[in-house]
Amino acid sequence: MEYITYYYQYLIYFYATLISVVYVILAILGYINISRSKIKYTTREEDKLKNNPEIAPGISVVAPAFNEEVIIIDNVNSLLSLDYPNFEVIIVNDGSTDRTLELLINNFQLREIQFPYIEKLRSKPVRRVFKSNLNKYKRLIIVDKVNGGTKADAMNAGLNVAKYDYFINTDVDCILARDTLTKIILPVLDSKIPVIAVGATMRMVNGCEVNEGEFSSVTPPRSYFPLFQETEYLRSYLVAKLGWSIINCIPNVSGGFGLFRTSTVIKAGGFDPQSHAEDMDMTLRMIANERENERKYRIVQIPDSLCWTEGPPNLKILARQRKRWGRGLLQIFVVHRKFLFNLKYGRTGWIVMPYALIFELLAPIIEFTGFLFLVYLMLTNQVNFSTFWLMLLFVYLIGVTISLITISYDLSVKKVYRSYTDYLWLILFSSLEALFYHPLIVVFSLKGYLEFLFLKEFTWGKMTRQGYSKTSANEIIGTTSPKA
Amino acid sequence: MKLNTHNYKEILSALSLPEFWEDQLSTNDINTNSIALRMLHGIKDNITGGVISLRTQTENKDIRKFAKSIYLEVDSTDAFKYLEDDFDRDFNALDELRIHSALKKKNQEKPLPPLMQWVNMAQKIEFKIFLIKEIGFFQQIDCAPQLLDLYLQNVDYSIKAQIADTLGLLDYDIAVPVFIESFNYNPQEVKDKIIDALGKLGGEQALSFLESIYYQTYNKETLIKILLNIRLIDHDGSVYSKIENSVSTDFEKIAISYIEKNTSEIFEL
Repeated sequence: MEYITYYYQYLIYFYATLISVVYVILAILGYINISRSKIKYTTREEDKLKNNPEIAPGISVVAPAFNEEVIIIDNVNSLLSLDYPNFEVIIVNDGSTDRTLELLINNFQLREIQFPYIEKLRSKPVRRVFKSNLNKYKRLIIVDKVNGGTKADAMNAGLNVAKYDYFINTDVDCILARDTLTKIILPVLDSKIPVIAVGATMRMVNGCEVNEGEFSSVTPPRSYFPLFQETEYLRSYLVAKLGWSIINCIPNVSGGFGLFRTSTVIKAGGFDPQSHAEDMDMTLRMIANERENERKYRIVQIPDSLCWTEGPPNLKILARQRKRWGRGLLQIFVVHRKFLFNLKYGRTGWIVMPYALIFELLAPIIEFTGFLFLVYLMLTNQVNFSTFWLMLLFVYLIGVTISLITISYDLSVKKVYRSYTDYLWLILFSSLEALFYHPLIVVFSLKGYLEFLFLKEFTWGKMTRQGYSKTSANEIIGTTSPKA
Repeated sequence: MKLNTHNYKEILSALSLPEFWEDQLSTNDINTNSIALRMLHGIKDNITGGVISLRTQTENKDIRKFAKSIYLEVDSTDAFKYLEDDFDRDFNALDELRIHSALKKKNQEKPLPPLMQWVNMAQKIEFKIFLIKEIGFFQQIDCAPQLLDLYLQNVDYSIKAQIADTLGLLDYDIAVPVFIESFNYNPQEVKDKIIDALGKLGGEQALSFLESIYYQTYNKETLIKILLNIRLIDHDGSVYSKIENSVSTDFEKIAISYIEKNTSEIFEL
């Protein structure tokens, strides 16, 4: 036992040191990325895209919806108000049992059309395709399909209808910034090597006010869990992903928001309905496909905040979300184990997947066992408390420093919140994250791993929507029955 | 509202802003250079290509290419000189956007010189394709015979596809028999562009060819493309009706209905 104690302490020490070093490196790379991005892309480039529609690439915005009657109209209005010359909005109604489709039909004056549907990617059968009678909604297409149980299945149906070379994969609970499409397509244009995917920063919509699909006020969430998640998201996007992006090592373009090259996704077989983490699974299969066919590719992350999503408002929904992420991560390492330490997959195989294995998949296990070990050491009086407090403070301050760096990066990209008090609020909560939020994440992730190992069946994670509009669903709609 | 450009220029001159940003452009800081270029681009009227050319040979590719695109827009003596040299060794789609925008502005002042001269000089396939695309956009019909000659040469298929597209836009119907003859010897990328071009060029020969390939096509996306183009050039509707009466699969029936709906607005006009 003495040897185990001795070596385990060293293991934890080196683990903590290494993760700190990696995060410092990623923070430096992230900073370089933000600086480069600010030099390269300004509103001038965006204006050029908007003023030259004949040369702007077309983009399909695909958003699956399952029982989203509370937010569907706001969201579709928001998507239709995007400021870009060539785009279409495809909403896939995945067999909703509530009034999602009825609301869409009534609010956008939809009619069923004969659509020559080509099944390039497998999905549950498509029942009907709708378009609007009104010219102002001419960009909108609604695909009504049999419920497939997963977002991946619905995305595949949406992609079978999409006509453009690039598509946005988003969720129906997400609100996109009006300049999303101009910002996200610029890195695609500005590369000699084909860019197969682009990610951007996502934030919490919980504190924002949305009026007819557009933000009337942007503030941080006022409830605890989304506020903790705000800093967590910013850290993931502005430090980790921006850092990885510099060396073309992004392993996951978020399922909540990302731009993908349609042909690459189709070649890679589309989204996998069996996956619990369809976004990372899709990204890795695209990478594998490009690598195996010896094609050069780039996956890019941009610093701009383009997508606002509803964060889990309570512990129950947070638990559900994190268990799903836990299941997904473990499944990724089972399904895509070929990547690990495989030279054929370049930096993804040699750097980022081992990193994800050691510092993401194993982290909750190491933290939990570390905690148990600490209890054991305390009970057996083997803790040198003067060193213990020093080390604990050191680790805590490293975490807080990274969060502070993240928030300063966010401010340097764009001052999204009107008041600096909002940023102080973020800083305060990020300093409490390690004490109140992170332990919950560790427990839920471990539960997710266990659920995956015991092979339970899972479908769409049901999210209780609060909505962000002051208008209620009943006020938006007419009351006629759904009719094609 | 029209801006008072006289006063605007007076203020720029009184504050020596062009000179200030020219100085900033000569510093060795990339960030400052980038801001200076944007400022000088904004000032535009008071600057010359000579000032911008300071940064057209710089090592940083973003600054260099941005400077070249501004040069193309503002220089009054030799604006097109970078088109002779594939624009830049790091030429990409964002440069296409910048050059296209600059060419549009130049074209508003006075018609552009024939872009074909730079197509012939270009070494990079991507740059050639871009210039051929621009020939179509600016409707430089005089370049059409040379483009057709280039099509007949042993060039990259992506170039052939773009030539087909451009000749369609230029309404150069002399190309129809050439396209028909070469159709089966090309990959799908070129075939798709030929089908679209025939749909723009029209005529009996094009219509009868599209009808013949309709019956030989198995690719569903291509089937829709052919049907759409037949619909666009079949003015009396006889070929389209013939196909409509002969189709047997549900997919084709739906495709026909879809195309009828989508093209009805065009025919109503």
